[in-house]
Amino acid sequence: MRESPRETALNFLVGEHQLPRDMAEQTLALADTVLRDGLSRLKAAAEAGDLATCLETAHGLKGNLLNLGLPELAQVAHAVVAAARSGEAAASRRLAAELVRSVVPFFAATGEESPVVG
Amino acid sequence: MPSRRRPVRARPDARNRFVSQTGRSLAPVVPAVDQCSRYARLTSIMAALDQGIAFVNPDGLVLEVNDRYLDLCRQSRANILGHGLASLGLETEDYQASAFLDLFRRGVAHAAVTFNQRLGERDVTVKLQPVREADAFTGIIVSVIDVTALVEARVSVEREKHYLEQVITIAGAAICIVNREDVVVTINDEFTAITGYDRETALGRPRQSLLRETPPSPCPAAAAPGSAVQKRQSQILTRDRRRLTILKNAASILDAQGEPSGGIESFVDVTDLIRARLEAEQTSRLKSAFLANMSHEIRTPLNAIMGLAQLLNRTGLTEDQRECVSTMQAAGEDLLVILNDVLDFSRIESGRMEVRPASVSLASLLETLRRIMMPAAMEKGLSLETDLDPLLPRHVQVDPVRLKQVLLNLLQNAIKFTEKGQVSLSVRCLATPDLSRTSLPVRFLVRDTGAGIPAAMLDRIFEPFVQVGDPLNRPQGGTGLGLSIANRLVRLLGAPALEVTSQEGHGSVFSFTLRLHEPEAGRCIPEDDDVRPLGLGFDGLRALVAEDNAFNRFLLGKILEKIGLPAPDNAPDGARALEMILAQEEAGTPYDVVFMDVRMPGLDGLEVCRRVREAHIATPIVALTAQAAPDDAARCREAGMTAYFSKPYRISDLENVLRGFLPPLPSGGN
Repeated sequence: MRESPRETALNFLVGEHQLPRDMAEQTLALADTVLRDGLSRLKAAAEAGDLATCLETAHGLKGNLLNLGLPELAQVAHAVVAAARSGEAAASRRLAAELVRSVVPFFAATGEESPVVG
Repeated sequence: MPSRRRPVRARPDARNRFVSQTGRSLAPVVPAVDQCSRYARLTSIMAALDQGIAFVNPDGLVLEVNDRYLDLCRQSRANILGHGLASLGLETEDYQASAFLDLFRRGVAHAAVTFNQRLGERDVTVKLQPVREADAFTGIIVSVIDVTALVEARVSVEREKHYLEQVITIAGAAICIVNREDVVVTINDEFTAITGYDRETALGRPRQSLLRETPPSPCPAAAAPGSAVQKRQSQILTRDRRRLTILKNAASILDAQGEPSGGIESFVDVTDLIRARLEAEQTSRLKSAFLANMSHEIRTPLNAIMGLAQLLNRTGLTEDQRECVSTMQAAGEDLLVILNDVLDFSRIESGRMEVRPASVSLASLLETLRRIMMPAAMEKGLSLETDLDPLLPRHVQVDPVRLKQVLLNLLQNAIKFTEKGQVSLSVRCLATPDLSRTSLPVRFLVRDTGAGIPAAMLDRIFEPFVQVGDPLNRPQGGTGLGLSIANRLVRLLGAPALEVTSQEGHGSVFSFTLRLHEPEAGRCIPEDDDVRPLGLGFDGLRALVAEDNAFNRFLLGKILEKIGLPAPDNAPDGARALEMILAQEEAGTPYDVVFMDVRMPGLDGLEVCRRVREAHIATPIVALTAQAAPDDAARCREAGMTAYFSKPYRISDLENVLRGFLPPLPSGGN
């Protein structure tokens, strides 16, 4: 059975960073908040065509996702950065939406509804 | 041309006055007393004159001559007085005084004649003044002025002028000299070649209207006397309406009083150079962008593959599955090595590989290398030996990263191509150390007992992409860049080249010699002495984490705590980070290390680092970034960052970086 992004991140924090499981859980909880906030800002910026904020926020999300051991998702964030840097508003909007969709499974296991979904 | 006339000797009359052959007296008839008095005055005047004076009668006899004339022609009075005009020394190739005398006598010429000639050792100006009395020609007054000094000065000026003209003509730059009104007075051939304006079209025209320089430059004559040569780059319009970029020097020309009398500009056409540079920079940017993209586009999925393989290995796999996953991991690592080789090679080729010397313990470096390579050697049943010359100083100044990279490459190759026997690394001092030496020649040798290199390959072994063996059957793999990179790196470190001796079937020796200095006293930070277990000793390090992202900040803090550091201080943005670093420095309790996110709102990490370095604070600053482009590393170094790594944070990377900041171990404290 395929591992969920959240399980991947948890394993990464425990395995790669050798954090105790409770500390890894605590770290993930903070990641929830930071990612939700970042995705929410990214979605708003992309829809408003604010490419500078789009770039900054996607860049921050990329770092978060790399630190969570989720390089595939970080790649989508990087694509948003690249599109925003090239001034492609439509592509930025499309990729930002794709990033939001891709990260949603990360929150699924928390039982909370992502404020950025929908 | 006046004809020559044979001079005729005069004879004195009864009163001892000279008379012509016609018997005419040469003095006017006046009362005797007055005449005597006047004669005495005239004689005194003639004697006092600084000019040479002589009087010649119409028959060409010299009737009077003063002392100055005798001085000038270096003759005695007896040799001249009463002798012919030729005795005055005024008969030359160009001018013959006798011929002029003939013209005066025949009434053909009446006006005074002036000419220049040499007289004895002097340059003189000669004036022949005809004397007429009662409309009859009575003789000529010869006056001679010594102009030797003037002539010498003029010759000297001419010589200087000729010299200057030669310099201006052969100068590789266009030269334009203007007067105080900025009007062109001199140009050279190169000026014509560049601008299309020749002397006829340029001289006498205002410089600015001739060249249409943009931005306009002030008249070079207006520069303050003694001010430095003004250098600038500008554009001019040529006669055929081409716009050229020039690089020029301008200065005022001073007269003898030190006042500007004009100005001089010299310039070269750099249009093609600038274009070539721009094209090269553009190419370099494209190459850099390509490499950055390649780095990112390959590394990101590669990291994903390797990370997933690592996770997969921890699940309940069968032996076959585990072997598949391990092979996948090994292939990923090989791919990463290739990627790094290509990036390193590109960086060296573009001159962007920096050498950063530091104090290095050679003993520790060898021990580290031995520990790293021992598993690979043992796997092949090889012995691995290291040998350090005891004559060498304990610490030397060298870039530890690049030296280690070269030696690792050579050891990896040696192990790769050796099936039995041994591999060794020796470091030899080639001179006896003493206080008088500023540096020591140190030779590094890596020997193996492997297959050796065919003689035909030895000359090409350091060329990029050259590999030993059958190209279709290379079990050792690799890019063929390793030795090429090592060769370039040893040159960057100061060695003439990487050398190789080899005999097929008997092994190879790769070696290079560096001239190494001992570090300055007090700077022997034994960063490479650290052979203690990883993680040990970090409990004394105070760290600051400057990161605007709460999750990244929290995670890094936890990792640092995990590897033994006390909980770090946190700064949520660049401004706060700068404030905290400055405050700790001022309090005399500087941080041991600062982790700095490069991209932060407001003051970014690079700017904070610049300001910290401007404040002469040497605290190590480690850059954190989500990117991995070569340019990022360069920008971080330029800003003064001490180290650099990209997310995700890895414990081993953090530990390696932190080990460099540990205080020295106590003596014998291994």
